[in-house]
Amino acid sequence: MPPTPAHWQPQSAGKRLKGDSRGDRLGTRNPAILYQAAVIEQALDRPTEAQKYFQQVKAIDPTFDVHAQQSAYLGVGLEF
Amino acid sequence: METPSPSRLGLPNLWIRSLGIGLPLTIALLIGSQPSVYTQLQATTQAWFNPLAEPYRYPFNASLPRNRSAIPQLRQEIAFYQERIQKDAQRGLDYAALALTYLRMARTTGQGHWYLLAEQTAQQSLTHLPFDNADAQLVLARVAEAKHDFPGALRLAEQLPEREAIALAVTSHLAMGQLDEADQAATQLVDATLSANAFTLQALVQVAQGKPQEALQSFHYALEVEEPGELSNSARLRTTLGRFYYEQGRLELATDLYQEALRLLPGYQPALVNLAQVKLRQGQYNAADRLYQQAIAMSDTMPTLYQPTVLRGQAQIQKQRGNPAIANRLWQEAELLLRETVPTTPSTAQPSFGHQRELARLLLERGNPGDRTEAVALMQQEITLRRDAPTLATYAGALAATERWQEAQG
Repeated sequence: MPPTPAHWQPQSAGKRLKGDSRGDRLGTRNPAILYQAAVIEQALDRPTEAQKYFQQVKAIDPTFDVHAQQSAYLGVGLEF
Repeated sequence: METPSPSRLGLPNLWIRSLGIGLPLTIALLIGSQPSVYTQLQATTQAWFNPLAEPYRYPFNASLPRNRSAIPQLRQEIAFYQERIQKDAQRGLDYAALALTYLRMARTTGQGHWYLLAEQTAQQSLTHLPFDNADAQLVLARVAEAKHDFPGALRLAEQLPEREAIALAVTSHLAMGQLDEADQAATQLVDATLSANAFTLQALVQVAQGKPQEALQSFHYALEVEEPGELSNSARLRTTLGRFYYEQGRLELATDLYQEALRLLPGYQPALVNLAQVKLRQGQYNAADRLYQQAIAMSDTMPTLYQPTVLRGQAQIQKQRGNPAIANRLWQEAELLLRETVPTTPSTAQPSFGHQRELARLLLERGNPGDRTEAVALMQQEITLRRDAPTLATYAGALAATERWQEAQG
């Protein structure tokens, strides 16, 4: 058994970090997915919803741009 | 004409000079050829120039072996068990051990044919040893998962020892988008094992839940408990963490983490592919292309699971460079590879090593209007197997490409 990490407590005992409180329907914080959601809202003529998603993208990744969107699905690691 | 004497040719001086240069060189070579000294020296040099700070820098440099490829060792193990089976074909445990080694080979190389061998060998093992054969069951469960048959993997997991069963529950529930179940399993796994692998899986669940602070904390716990000698786990952990930072736009940190993973396991394909993605995003097309070439060189003669992604990346480079014909050729090559793995009857979703999602992405990236309906059909099949956020997003992207905006929004 490896050593117990400092400050770690068994989570089944109830101690958990507070997660982000987010009001959006999408659980993900993947900027490429949120960007796509914004584009869909735009196409449906819902500018307020679209703007909300665009703002989330910028808050998560301020450098997100068209190149990031184009290469978004060319990596591996956080999905199965 | 006077013939110069040997002394006038300066031979004694030459000897002395040779000794002066050669002796230290010989000593240095002798010392340098000792594996432990060489490794120590290499590790120290790399540690000096390593841009990463702890805890992201791998802390066990002194224990790094010179040859860090797991493949020769796995080949030896395969040969060993094959020989034992040849001598006595009734030994169910040897078949199970061989199946497990094939599975490790599949994961190490990313080559799909090893999964098939693992599955067949595990089935042979169960023929000879139908009971108390956890290794063979584990192989079948992991192969089912690789085929995206997640309910099947979970059913098989019921017969596994608790820890293996929980680990499989995390990844299978995660892929099906069942985040509460995945979270519960990850918490159980962490509490039971406190291992780097368990914390990494928990971080993945927290990323999917949209909890970056918790995920980062779990990544840090994973780094805190990592152990020397588990290079695959350490490389995977850094690659996953690199990807986490990539998605926040922290490209330099992501780059350093991928490079650290490559220092641990040179040629580690997920790190090469992800590093190429960073370069592509930064518009450094030559660098991205070099990394893709390295990934292809690692694949030996058999294509790997990463090859279609590599070809799609190369196509993207050519598209950006204004070479649509070359880009199309690369997409076509990737398409052929992907179609080999996709079920031939499109109306039913069958578990297979197929990558409908990746094929759908390719069809959308290529931008041919004629491909879009097929992309939607592929994703309609895929979401019956997988319902994680990237899969649902690809489905939405396909619907959007066919201007089915209302459905895409839903």
